[in-house]
Amino acid sequence: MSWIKGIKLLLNDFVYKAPRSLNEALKLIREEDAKVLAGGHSLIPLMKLGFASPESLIDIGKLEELQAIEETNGVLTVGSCVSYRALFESEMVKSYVPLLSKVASQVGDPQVRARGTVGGSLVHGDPASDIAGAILALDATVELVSLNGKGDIVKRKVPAREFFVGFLETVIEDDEILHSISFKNKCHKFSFQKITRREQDWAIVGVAVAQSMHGIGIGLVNLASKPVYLDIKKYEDISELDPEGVSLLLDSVIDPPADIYGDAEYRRHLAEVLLLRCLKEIKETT
Amino acid sequence: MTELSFILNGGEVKISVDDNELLCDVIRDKFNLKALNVGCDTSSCGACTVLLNGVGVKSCTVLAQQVESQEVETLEGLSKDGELHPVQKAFKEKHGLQCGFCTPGMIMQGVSLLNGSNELSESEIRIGIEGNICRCTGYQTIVDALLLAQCEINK
Amino acid sequence: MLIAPITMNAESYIGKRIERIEDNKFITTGATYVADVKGGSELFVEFLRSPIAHGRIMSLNVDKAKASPGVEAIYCSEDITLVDINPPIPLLNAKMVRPYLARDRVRFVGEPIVLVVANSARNALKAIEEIEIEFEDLEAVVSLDDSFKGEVLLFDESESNVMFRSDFTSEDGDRFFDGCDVFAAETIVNSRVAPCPLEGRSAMASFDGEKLTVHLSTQAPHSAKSTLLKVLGLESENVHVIAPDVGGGFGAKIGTYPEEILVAYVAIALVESDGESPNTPKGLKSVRWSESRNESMISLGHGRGQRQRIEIGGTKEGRITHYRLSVMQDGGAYPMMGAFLPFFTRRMVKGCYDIQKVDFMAVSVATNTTPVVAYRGAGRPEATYAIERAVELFARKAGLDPADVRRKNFISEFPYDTGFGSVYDSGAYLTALEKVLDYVDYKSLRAEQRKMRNMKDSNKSLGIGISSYVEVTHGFPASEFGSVKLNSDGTIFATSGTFPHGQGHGTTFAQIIADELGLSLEKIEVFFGDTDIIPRGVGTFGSRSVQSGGVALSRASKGLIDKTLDLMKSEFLDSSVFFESGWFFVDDRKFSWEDIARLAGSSNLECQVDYAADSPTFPFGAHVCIVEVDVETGVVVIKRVVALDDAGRIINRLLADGQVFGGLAQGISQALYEEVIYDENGNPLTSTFADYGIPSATEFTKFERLEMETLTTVNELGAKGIGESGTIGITPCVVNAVCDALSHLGIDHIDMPLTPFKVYSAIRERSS
Repeated sequence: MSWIKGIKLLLNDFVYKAPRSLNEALKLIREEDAKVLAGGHSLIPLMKLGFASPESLIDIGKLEELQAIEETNGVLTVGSCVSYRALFESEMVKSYVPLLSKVASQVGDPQVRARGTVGGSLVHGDPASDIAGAILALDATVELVSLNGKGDIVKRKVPAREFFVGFLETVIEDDEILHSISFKNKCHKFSFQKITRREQDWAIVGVAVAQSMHGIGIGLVNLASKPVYLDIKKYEDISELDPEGVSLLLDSVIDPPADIYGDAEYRRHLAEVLLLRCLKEIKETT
Repeated sequence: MTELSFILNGGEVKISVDDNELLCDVIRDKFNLKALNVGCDTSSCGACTVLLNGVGVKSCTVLAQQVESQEVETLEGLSKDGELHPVQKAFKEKHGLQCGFCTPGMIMQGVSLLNGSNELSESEIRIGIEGNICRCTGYQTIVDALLLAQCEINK
Repeated sequence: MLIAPITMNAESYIGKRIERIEDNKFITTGATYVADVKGGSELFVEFLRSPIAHGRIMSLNVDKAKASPGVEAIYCSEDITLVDINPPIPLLNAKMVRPYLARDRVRFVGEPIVLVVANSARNALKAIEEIEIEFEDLEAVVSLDDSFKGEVLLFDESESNVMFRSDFTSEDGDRFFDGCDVFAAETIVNSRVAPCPLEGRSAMASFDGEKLTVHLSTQAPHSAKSTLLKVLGLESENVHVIAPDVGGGFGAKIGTYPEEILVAYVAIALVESDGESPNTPKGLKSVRWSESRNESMISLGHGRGQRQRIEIGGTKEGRITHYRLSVMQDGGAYPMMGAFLPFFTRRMVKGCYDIQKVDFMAVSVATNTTPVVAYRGAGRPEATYAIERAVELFARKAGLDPADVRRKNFISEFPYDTGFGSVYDSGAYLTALEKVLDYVDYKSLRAEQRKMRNMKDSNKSLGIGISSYVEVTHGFPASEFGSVKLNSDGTIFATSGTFPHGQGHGTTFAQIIADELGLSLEKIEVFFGDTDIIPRGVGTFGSRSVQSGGVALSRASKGLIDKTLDLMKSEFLDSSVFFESGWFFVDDRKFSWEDIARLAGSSNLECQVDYAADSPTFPFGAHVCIVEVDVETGVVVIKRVVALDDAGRIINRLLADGQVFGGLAQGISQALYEEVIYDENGNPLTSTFADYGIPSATEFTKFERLEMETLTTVNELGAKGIGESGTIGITPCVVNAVCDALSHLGIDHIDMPLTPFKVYSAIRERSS
């Protein structure tokens, strides 16, 4: 009677391990049914409802190298275990990719922002993740680590727009840990618009837009089975985009879900309205 | 069972916990500190909010072992030497509580909020407690209480 | 007994803003709810609940579960020797009987089927996973129409799904509205909501072989006691109910639920079968159960759940002459208080208006959903919603300002007999409305609205909503108990049969007693919630407490003075003895209560009063709400909420504010956010706090409250109830505001909750 789990809280029995190094963590996650725990704010709620029941939890939340926010050679790197709170409190993030600050300040509620991590959210791969929308818009790169045959740490870099594969599915392999997210473009023109039931809820629809020297990036939240990147490279000037153009563009990439908060048509409509509002805001940003 | 040690309300504590025990259960059942309440199963209500290193977190969504060597503070540890914290006083003065179930979490989140800033607007205070559900007050008297507490702290 | 109205002066506690006496514990160590009460040797109850809305239980095997670690006992329906539960009110369909645990048939998702007792909640839940059960699905009856049609019956014993009927219709039928210049009609839904007290249900029971002690999270400990002793066949002196601190109720914790009775039943059964117990030592065991939130969302009663047909007619000048309200109430799977809600709706059908011809009819039907119970307002918000939406539609049809239509139709003379079971005691409906309209500067608001509508390119539309309401509190005046006793140190110990669970009666009642006895507040303790200490009681619901329990304590205080005066007179023969402002004067000497306590020695200075009011009281008010609707996205933002709630004499202004604000929040929540939703198979889609979505502080604005006190003559305090008024007036007010914002788009009505999706859908439908 597994349905009962949804009715009454019951965490399954698992073994908790807190490795002291990334190397040790990467070894531990190779064990059967092991899951990586960062802030726990995606995983623990799922486990309470019985939707996940791992044999072991590997807590990477205390590994310092995953908590770093640093800039090297013009590239900003954010460790996967940086909390939303640390993210929006970081002056470096604010000066480099303010869109990320803004989005992080609006995820969930303050307690969730204090514990939830940027990596945890991305790995969960929820189509309604605001952070996913932001990293898509910012054309970020996701860095994954694993151990090779010799036991050395190897890195794999994946562009954000290739990271999300399907519903709650990303390219991350079972033996990989999300190490960090990096941003190579400073980006000061941005807009983020979302419609929620209550402020702390998941977005019914969200749109993140960022403009850098290299062009415009658009991330769409909760408009398909995964977070979606919208390519508008062919438009040199966004002022060319009228409602009809936006509408056509959207239809090429979205497949909106339907639930009690909105049907597909409503979400499609919101996407159009919000995207136009974002573009207007960007245009008005000096 | 694993040995866990952390700072609880200013004192170091050691206790054996199961790997799947949540912080809220350890505080309530093993330390018999019953102020915090568990009001939901989905990390939604915030009634279990405690301070972890000075910041409000939902103790129903933290594994006990995640707080190893860290500082946890509950409502019971808030008043020092019999002197109520300004947030506690303000809740009484402004009638920031009715049934009391959300109160321990609400007060701790209020303290967390005022730890972070002392020039919050009314709307920033509302955002600051958006993770705490109160079914009785309509939040108004809670917001009033936190504005008053902020004034007191700034004096 | 005729008693003069109370007199007040500048020193009176009554009427002031006074901080709650009871708060210190809450803000330092937290309250003590049932789950915080220590038991002895503890056992935990958990329930296997139905995963389907309607079906037959084809097979049930608990053998494996019995062998699961830590299991003490398992009970299925046939193991329970209690008589099945009859509807709580004789007017409800008596053929709809509920077994304590589902027998053969399940009727809603969440219905308890098997009870497991184990040495930990975790072990009980693990055992539940070992239970083998098979169902045959039956067609789930979810919609009201399907239920009324009766093609699928919930109870084989009953020839229809009807739980309750109420018919107050005239013979006119189709010709009812003949002669009206203006006629408007709409079918509207008063959505089903979940009461969501933050503390769910919780019970702990122990039995010592003779006496049953039950700690219960309830609004009415004495009613719980009478239910328990009746159901379990115990003597009154052998049932002890203790309600410790209770984390909210909102109507859902008035009655005693099957799960709670079973906890008590199991406590007795385990002691009686003692000796076979594998896991716990012999002797006193406490058996406890605390529901989880998700469990609560599907098995604690829901509220509201009416579909209403409103029809209204009158003259083109705006005089409303005809009104017809037809109600279909969703009772849920078993008849509880919800099935009876139309009775209360009927009593308040006319609202504040003097309407010549009114028809009312209602039918309550069973559906395969969680049973419906009382929720803050219970039947009256539904009446107010119907009439206030109807008046709004009438005004629109007549092309008149909705405020003007109200002005033209208010009842202005009191007492006023509605002919529908209510006699309004006192009111000033026009004054209340004018006050709020003046306060918000209604004329300027309308001008601003016109200006905004003329602005090109604006996606924002301003809406102004009004509602005027009258409601009934202490609807069934029942006798309430109060006792005031002088302690040996001159302090006062009072008890009341009401039971506060957040309202702060401990302070309010102390104010009443302190004024009467001329004592300072800190000398008075008021105690609640223990049936061994308080002999009788009714409880707290229906905004009854001050006007029943408060008056009882006021009279008991007077009685204590009289008793003391008698004692003094017998002590000081031939002296002039009188009481004034806290002092007893004997010739030229005076005695304080402290002196009296010393003099009285062992003589018992206590006065007990059972007070029953002659009639209910009828608080009223007017609310205004201003909203901004984003017509592109459907998002509604509340800009202002102004509420005038007149409940007669206010004892404690601070606490009255709290009641009104909390009520407003719940009423706004129903209008904009909350709704219990089922799919077509009866599966709940809103069974967690994440899905149900109670608003947090960010969803509300600052509420503005105006005060007015029109005293009642029903009791000497002049007090009516204020616990539910906020919820009653504001819901239609918000919907009126949103519909007002969209009126220029031709939208007359949108059903609650007015989510962005629903608002946008209405706009989309109109524009296509």
